[in-house]
Amino acid sequence: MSKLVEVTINDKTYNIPEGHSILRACEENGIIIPRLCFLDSIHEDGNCRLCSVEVDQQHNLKPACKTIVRDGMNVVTENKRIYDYVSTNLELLASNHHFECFKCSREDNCEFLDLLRRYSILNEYSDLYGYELKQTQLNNSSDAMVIDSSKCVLCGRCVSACEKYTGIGVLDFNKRGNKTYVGPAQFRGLEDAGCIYCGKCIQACPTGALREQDDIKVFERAVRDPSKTVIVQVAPSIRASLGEEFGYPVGTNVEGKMFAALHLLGVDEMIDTNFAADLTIVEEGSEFLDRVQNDGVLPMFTSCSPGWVNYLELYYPELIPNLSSCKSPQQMAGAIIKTYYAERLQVDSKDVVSVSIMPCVAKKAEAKREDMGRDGYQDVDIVLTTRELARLIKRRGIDFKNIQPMEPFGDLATYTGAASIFGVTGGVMEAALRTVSEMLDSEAKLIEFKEVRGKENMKEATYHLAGKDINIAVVHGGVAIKEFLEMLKTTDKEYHFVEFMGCIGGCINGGGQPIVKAKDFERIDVIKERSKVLYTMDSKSILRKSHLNPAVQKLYSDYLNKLNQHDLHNLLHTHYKARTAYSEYIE
Amino acid sequence: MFERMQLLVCGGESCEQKQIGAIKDALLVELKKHDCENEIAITQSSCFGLCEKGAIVGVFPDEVYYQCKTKSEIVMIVEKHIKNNQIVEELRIKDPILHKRLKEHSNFHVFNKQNRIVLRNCGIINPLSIEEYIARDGYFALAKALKEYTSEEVIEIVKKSKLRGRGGGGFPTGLKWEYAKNSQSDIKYVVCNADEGDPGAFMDRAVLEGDPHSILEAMAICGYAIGAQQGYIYVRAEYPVAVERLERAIEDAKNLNLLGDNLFGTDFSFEIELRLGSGAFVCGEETALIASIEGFRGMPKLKPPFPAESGLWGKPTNVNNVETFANIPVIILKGADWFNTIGTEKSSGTKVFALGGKIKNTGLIEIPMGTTLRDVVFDIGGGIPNRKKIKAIQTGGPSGGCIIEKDLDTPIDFDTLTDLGSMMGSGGMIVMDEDNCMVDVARFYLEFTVEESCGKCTPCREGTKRMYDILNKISEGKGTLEDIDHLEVLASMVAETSLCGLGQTAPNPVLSTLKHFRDEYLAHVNDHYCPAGVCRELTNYIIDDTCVGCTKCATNCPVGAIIGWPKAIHKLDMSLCIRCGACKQACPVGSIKTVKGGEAHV
Amino acid sequence: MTKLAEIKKIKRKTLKDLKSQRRIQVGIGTCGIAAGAKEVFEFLEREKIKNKLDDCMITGVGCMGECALEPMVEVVEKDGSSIIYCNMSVDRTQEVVDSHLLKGVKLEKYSLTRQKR
Repeated sequence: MSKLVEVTINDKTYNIPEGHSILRACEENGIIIPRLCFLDSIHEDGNCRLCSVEVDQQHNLKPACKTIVRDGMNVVTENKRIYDYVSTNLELLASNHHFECFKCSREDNCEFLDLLRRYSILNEYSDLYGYELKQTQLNNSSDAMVIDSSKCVLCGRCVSACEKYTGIGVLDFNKRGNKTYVGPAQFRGLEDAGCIYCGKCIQACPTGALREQDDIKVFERAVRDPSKTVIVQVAPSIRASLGEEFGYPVGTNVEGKMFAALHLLGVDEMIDTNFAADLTIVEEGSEFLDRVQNDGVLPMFTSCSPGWVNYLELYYPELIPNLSSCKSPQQMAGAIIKTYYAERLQVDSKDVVSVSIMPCVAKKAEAKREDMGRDGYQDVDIVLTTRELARLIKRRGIDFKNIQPMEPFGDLATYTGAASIFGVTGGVMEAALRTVSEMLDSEAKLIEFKEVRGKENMKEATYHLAGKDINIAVVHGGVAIKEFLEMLKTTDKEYHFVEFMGCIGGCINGGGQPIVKAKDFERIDVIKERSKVLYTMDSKSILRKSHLNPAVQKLYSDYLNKLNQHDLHNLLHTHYKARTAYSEYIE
Repeated sequence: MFERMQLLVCGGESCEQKQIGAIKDALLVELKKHDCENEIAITQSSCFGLCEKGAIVGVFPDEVYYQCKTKSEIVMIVEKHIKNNQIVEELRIKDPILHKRLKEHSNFHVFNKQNRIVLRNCGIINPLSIEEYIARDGYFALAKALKEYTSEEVIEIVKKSKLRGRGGGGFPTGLKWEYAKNSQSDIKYVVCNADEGDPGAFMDRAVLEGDPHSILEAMAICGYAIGAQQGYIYVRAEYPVAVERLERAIEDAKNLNLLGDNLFGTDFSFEIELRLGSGAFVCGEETALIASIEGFRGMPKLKPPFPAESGLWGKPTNVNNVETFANIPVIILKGADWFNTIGTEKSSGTKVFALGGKIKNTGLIEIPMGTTLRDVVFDIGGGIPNRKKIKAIQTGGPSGGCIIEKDLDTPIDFDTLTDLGSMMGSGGMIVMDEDNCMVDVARFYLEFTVEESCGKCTPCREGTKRMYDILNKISEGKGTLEDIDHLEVLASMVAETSLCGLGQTAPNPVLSTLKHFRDEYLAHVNDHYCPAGVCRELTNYIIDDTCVGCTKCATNCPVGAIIGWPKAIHKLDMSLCIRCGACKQACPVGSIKTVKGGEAHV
Repeated sequence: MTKLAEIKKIKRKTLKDLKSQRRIQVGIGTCGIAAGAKEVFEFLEREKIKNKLDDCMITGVGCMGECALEPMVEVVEKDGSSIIYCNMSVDRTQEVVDSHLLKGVKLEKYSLTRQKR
C-alpha cells in the first residue's frame, strides 16, 4: 500500500498515492482532463500540451500527464485561461486537419473529434488565416495500410508504438516546424521501409491519419453482383471483439449475431476460418513430425501470422528454412473455397468472391502474395478488418444488438476448441501440441498446455513425448521476436517448435481490431478480456483437438488425399522470399 | 593581467616633446619605486594634441585626467592617487570640453580593456598558440583548482561568485554544478553549448575563435568539480573557423598533457571531443542538444528530469554556455570576492553584447552588469547615426522583447531586463530608430521562430505559424482588430503552454511590441498606414507641387516608376514602385512625401 | 605528465620572447577574415621577409570587438605601447609598413582613436 499525499484539485482535497501523475490522479477521481498524446508507457513525451494545468499558481502551465503529485500541491484544471488555451490549441489543430469524417475510418471512434466537440471548436482559423491542408503525403503504396498526413495531429504515438511494441521504428517525424510530418524516412513507401503491417501504429493513432486500406466499397459491389458468389470466412478473434463496436463490454462473445449480420449483408455462403485452423494444425503437425523424424530443419516456426512472416523475410531471411511451409488458416480456407467448395456449389472458381474478415491488417497484403492463388485468381479476394465489418453493419443500418443470432451452414464451419484459441498468443502452439502430442505418442492425452498461456513476451516449456524432450517456445511482439531470434543465434538449447505472433497478445490485439481509446486501454485489460472469450469457447467445446474435427477428416478423405503431391502443396503450402528494406536507391 | 588601475599616457614614440618625454620617464621611475609595476597597466595612446598642458595622464577606472608639467607633479600623482586612491584636484583637467575630447580619444584604448574578463585574451593572444595562452596565466586556474581545492570547494567558489548562466537563462552556475555533483553516477558529462543560434549574436564566436583554450580549461575545472571525465563541445557547423581553432587547441592541450590522463599529477583525467551541429536553432536548447549528440532528432524533452540528473545517455550532465565557461578560470584565479566587485548585487560580473542595428559602433562590447542602457547606446555605442531618434532596443534575439526610450536609464542585469518585458538572452542587442516598423520587427523574429520550431509540441509548431500569418496579414494591410485579439490570445497560449524555451519565449517580440507600440499596430489595421514607411503595401509616396522638375528622382528610380518632363511636376506610378526610397533621398527640395495608404498620386 | 613548474616555465619564456619583439597582430576572427584579413596577413608576412624585419613578429589574434572596422592591425612595441590601425587594405598596410615599421613614423590617420563616427 503506497503512501498517500494530500493534493488540492479545483479547491477540493484528495488523497492520492505517491508517484501518481496529476492526470492519473484526476482520472481516478472522475475529473476529466483533455489529453491526446499520452499513451501509458508507450508515449509519454507530453507534447500535445492539451493537458496543461495550473500548478501552485505558477505562471507557465504544466503537463498533467508527466507532473507527479506532491504533498500540498495545488492544482487547477479548469478556469477561463486554461479553457481558452485548450480551445486555441484545438483550433490550431483543426485549422489544418482535413475533415472527411463521413468517410473516415474513425467516424465514430476518434479521440480528436471527441475533444473538438467537448470544447465546441468553431474551426475559425481556417477561414481567417487560410486553410493549409497538411500537404505531405498520402503514403498508400502498400496493399495494407495508408498514412494520411492531412489528418495527423502529430501526437507521436505511432512513432513510439512502432518503436516500443514492434521494435523496428519505421515511422518518425520528418522535416521540422509546421512542415513536420510522420512517415518513413526519405519519402519512402511503407513497403520499401520495412514495415511489417502489424498495425500497432493504427491502434495507437487517435485520428484517422493511420488506417487500413478501405475495401468496403469493393465488397459492396461484389455482394450486389448477381454473377458472383460471395463466400465469407471469419477469423476466431472477430467474434470476441466485434461486439465492442456496438456497445457490448470488452470480452463479449457475439458469434451468433456476427453470422446473422453477415447474412443480412447479403453474402452467399459463410464458413469459419476456425475450420481452416484445424486443417492447418493437421498439416503443420504432419510437417513437424516429418522434420523431427527425418532430420529436418529445427526449430520449426509457425507461419500463420503474416506480420511475423514479413518480419522474418525482411530482417532474418537466413531463417526462412525454419518457417513452416503451411499457409495460414485464411489462405488455406481461401484455397479450399476456390477449389473444393466451388466445385461442391457448382460454381466456377472465377465467379467466386472469397472474402475474409480478419483482426489483422497484414492479411490484406498476404492475400495478394504470389503463391496465394492459381490460374489467374487469388484465393482470397477481399480482406476486411473487424473495424471495416463493423462500419459496414452500421452503414447498412443493421441493428446489431437486436438481431437474432444465427449459425453458419455447411460443414466448413465446423471447428474444434483448438481452433478457437488460435487468436491468442500461445493458442496456435497449444492447438498444435494437442495434435502433435498424440501423433508422436498415442498414449498422450493432454488437452490443456497451460504453460504456453499468459502475457509474458516469451514463454518456454518442455514436454516429454515419445521418449524425447520437445522444447517449445511462444513469442509475441516485434521486440520479443528480435530478442528471441538473437538468443537463438548463440544458445546451446535445442528448440523444436516455436510459435511467433507479430502482435503482442496475439490476433485478438491485431491491427484490424476495434480501437480502444488510450484512456480506456489504461483501465481495461483488453487482451485478457478478449482472450477469455476464446479460452471459454475452447473449454466448453466437446471436441478440442484439431485432428478430431470430422469435417477436416472428411475433407481429407473426399478431396485432399486424392490430390497429387504437387497440387496439394499448391493448395495448402507456400514459399517465402528474402526481402530488404530501403533497397531502392533514392537520390 | 587584471591590474588595479590603468594609466593612459599621451604621445608614445612619436612624441617630439623631449620635456614631456622626461616627465613620462619620471612616471615610470616613481611607479617602480612604489612597487606598483605589476598592479598598474600603462598604455601609450596617440598624441592628444594638448602638448601645452604638459604630459596628459589619464587614470582609470576613476576617469581622471591630469596635466603634468613637472616631475614633482608626477610624484604627487603617484603617491596620492595611484598609491592611496586620493584624487589630486589641483592637477586635474576640469574643463568639460577638454575632458570630453580626452575621453573620446581614450575610449577604446581604455574602456574595452577595462572590463574584459570573457574577452580578456581576444585580440591579444594568438589563438593558435597554447604558449601565449599560458603566458597570460592560462591553465594556472586548472592547476590551482586541482592542487589547492577539493571539488566541493571549487563549487563553493563558483556559487559564491554568483555567476549566472550567460546563455540566456541566467541560472546560478554554481547551483547547477552542485546538482550535477550530487547525482550519483560513475559516469558524468560536461557539455559546452556552443550552438550560438540567435541571429545577430556572435559573442561566443569571438571567444571560440580568439581564445579557445579558455573553454577547454573551464570545462576541465567543471569536470573536476562535478566528477566527470568526458566533455563535449557542441559547436554549430556554421562556425568553421571556430571548429578549426578548437580542434587545434584540443590537440595542443593534449600534447602538453593539459587534457588527458592525470592532469598535473593528480588522479583527475579529462578528455574533450567536438560535436558539430547541423543547422537547427532548437539544438541550442540543452535537452535537444543532448538528443542531437546522442544521434537522435534534435527535439527538446520534458524537464524534470533535468540534465544534471539524467542527461547525455541518461547520465548526469552539466550543460553551460561558452561565455559562462569563459568566466570560470578567472574566478578561480582571482577569487569569488573579486568577481562580486563587478556588476550588481544579483548579477555579478560582466556581459558581452553584440551591438547591431542603427548604432554607430557596431561590434562586441563587454560591460559590467549595472551599466545603463543609455550608456551602452549613446556612450559606448556612439549613438544613433544620421541624427535619427532612438525608438527601441531589442535584447535577447528572437526570445526577447523591446525596451523603449523612457526605460533607457535602467541598469542592465538579468532581473531588470526581465522586469521590462524583455530578457538578457545571449547578448544580442539591436538598436532601432524611427525608421523601423515594430510590426515588421515582430514579424521578422517570428519568421525565424517559425522556421526553427522543431515541430514536437502543438502550441509552438502551429501557434507561431498562425501568429506569423496574422502579422503578415497586418503588414499587408488586410488586418482587422479581431486579428490583434487573436494574436494576443495565441501569444499568451504559446508562451504559457509550450514545451521548451523556444516556444515559451517566441511570442515575446510580439507581446512587447504590442505593449509598447500598439499605436503602430492600430495604424496598420485602422488607417492602412505604416508610420515607419517599411511595410510595402502600406507605404505610399506622392510628389507634391513643390516639385521643381529637376528629374533627379526619375533618374534614380531603379524601376522607372517616375515620369515627367524637365521643369514640370513629376508623377509617381505606385503600382511599379518598390518603396526603395531612392527618389526621396535624391530629391533636393523634399517634394516626395510618404502618405497614408490609399492616397497615392498616380 | 606536465607539472605546474613546467607551465610556469612556459609562461616565463613566452613572456620574455614577447617582450623581445615588435608584435604585429592581425585580427583573424571570422569578421576579420570576411573583411580581408587573410590577404593583409599574408602581405605582412611577405613584407617581413622582403624588408628583413627580424624584430617583428606577425601573428593573428582573435576578434578585438570593433567588427565594423576590420581588418585591424595592431602594432605593439617592445615597451607595450601600441597603436591599432583600422580598415586595413593591402595598400594601407603597405603605407603602414613603409612609414611605421621601417621609418618609425606612426600613421595617426588610420588609428582607431581617430575614426570618425
